[in-house]
Amino acid sequence: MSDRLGASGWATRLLATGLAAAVVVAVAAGGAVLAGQGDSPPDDPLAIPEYQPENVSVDYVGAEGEISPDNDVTTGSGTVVIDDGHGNRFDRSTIEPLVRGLTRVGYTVEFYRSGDLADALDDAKAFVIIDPAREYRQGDVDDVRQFTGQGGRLLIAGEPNRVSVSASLFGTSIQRQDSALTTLGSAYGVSIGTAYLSNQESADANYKFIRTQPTDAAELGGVEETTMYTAGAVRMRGGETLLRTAPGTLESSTDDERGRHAVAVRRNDVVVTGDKTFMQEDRFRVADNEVFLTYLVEFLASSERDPDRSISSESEEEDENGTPDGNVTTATSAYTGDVD
Amino acid sequence: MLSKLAAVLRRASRSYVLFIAIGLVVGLAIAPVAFQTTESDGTVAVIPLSGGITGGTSSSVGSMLEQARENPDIDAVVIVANSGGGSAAASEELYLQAKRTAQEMPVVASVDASAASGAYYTIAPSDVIYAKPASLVGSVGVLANAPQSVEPNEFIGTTGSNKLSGFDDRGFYYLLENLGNSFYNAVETQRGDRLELSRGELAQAKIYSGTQAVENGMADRIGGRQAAVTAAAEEAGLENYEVRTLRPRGETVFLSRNNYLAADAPNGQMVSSDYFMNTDDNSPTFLMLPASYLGNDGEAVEPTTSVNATRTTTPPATTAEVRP
Repeated sequence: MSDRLGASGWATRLLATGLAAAVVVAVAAGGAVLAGQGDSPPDDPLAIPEYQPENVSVDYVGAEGEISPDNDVTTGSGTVVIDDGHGNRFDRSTIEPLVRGLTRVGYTVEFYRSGDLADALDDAKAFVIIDPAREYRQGDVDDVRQFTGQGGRLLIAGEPNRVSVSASLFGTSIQRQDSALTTLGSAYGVSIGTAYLSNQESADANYKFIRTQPTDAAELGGVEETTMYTAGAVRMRGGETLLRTAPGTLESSTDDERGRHAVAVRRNDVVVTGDKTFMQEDRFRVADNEVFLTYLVEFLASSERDPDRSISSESEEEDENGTPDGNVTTATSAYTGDVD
Repeated sequence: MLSKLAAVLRRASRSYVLFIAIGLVVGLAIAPVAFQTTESDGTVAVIPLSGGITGGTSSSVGSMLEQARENPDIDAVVIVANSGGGSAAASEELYLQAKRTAQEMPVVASVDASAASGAYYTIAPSDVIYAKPASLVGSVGVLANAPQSVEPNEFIGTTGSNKLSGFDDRGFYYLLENLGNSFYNAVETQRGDRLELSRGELAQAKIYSGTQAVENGMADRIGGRQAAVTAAAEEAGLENYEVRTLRPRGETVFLSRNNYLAADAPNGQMVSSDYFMNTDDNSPTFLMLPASYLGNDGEAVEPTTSVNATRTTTPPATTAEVRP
């Protein structure tokens, strides 16, 4: 058989086989190309400057620093009482930086949980009230007023109204929370707004986390800017504004009245803030919060309380400053902290 | 021979059949010319954006927009919005698709019951936005369930302090704000001088009625779907045109009964808020939805009989052509 084919026959067969293989490869390759062309060709790149990082990223507010109270400003040693007897809403992370600052200057910290408030404050130099859930009875108000009348220092950290959402095995519950400071606050001519302050432009990322600045008159030891986290506006008769919001800040109850709202006010031996979160462990270093907290530590630890000082002289002094006489009243005019 | 031929011709000239045949040939020949004046100049594609925006919606509506771009017969697009938004990432994808389409042909939006949040994001690149007085427009912003602080714990080991939650508390809000800024930038870029809201006002995420939206520049004109189609045709320079309604694939889920009742979605169904945000899930879900839409925590609702009856009138075909 092979003899009959001869050399030319084999060559012809090989050529035919090669051609067939070439056709198979060509067809397969062509098919692959065609299959690849099944997808649409990509469109031209789309210009999206609105998404570029430089147009989207938020300026980060730095968070570094430490509380560094000046021992020359404080008065040696003493006790600061923190109220824990009125359903106060705070935990260790809220007060730990403050406590750390107080202990650095030689102060000790105690809690008032029940019993006679006057007894608890008897040896104290300063009293701290954070976001109470229950109103102060008139007897407690009198005790606190007597305390500040003797030169004791009072720090009140309130909050606007909030909604607390908690989940449990029985489902989700929603509770409204408000700082029960009406009776005590009115005794000092102070009120904390129930609506939270918001500012879209001047914030620590979120509109509820507002940036605040000291007034020109406030001497806060180098504070340039602080941040408050869901704060209420503080209004205090005859008080000096320490910190206020940036222009254009809104109270959430209204969309129309934009302005600068006081969030920290001082009058004599009383300082009131509209927020407690700025002092907590994961916030007190943001911006110059630690400097402001240093100021508060020095304020509390520089008390010159004299327990023998009579309450009557305290009342006269405060009356000269336009403070109510201790009865629960609603102050109506000359508030520091009104929007401007 | 000649006499036979002459006889055939004489018989043919007396036959009606010949004249009918000649008439048919001539009529067919001149028909295209005779009907030239009523032939369509082009097509306006109507693309519904209904229900909650998910990856499926994004893919479906996105492919319809892509189809509009690639089909040489389609000259303009009308997006009919009936949605309160949905997934942030899916909404961004639709924005990009709509923006690309608007660069190639006129795109006009018609807000039916609502174009809120992610749905407004989608129609923002439109050349003209129509809304009805009862339309709801706006809610420009992002929401997400905040991550829970779960470090340290003794049950799960990780290599980093944010491996469980993804963010610390501040980091979460910075990330959220970045998403918000992208959204605000997009709206401001697309609306330009027409928008009379400041950045702060826009970011308040208010919902406006159609009338209010026209006043503050979130929308352009009061009008319904028909007005939007006419405007799209005019923008494309079409005098005689077809309207082709494209239909999405699959089912459409609704959180808002308002949208559900207004939408012409053949496979629509109500779902509970868990569909978009399950609070049992610790990881944040980034949504472009009005929070009020998440208040619905009831059972999924099947379409009522009357609604079904109404919907049977909707052509089941994937495309339907209707003369304006």
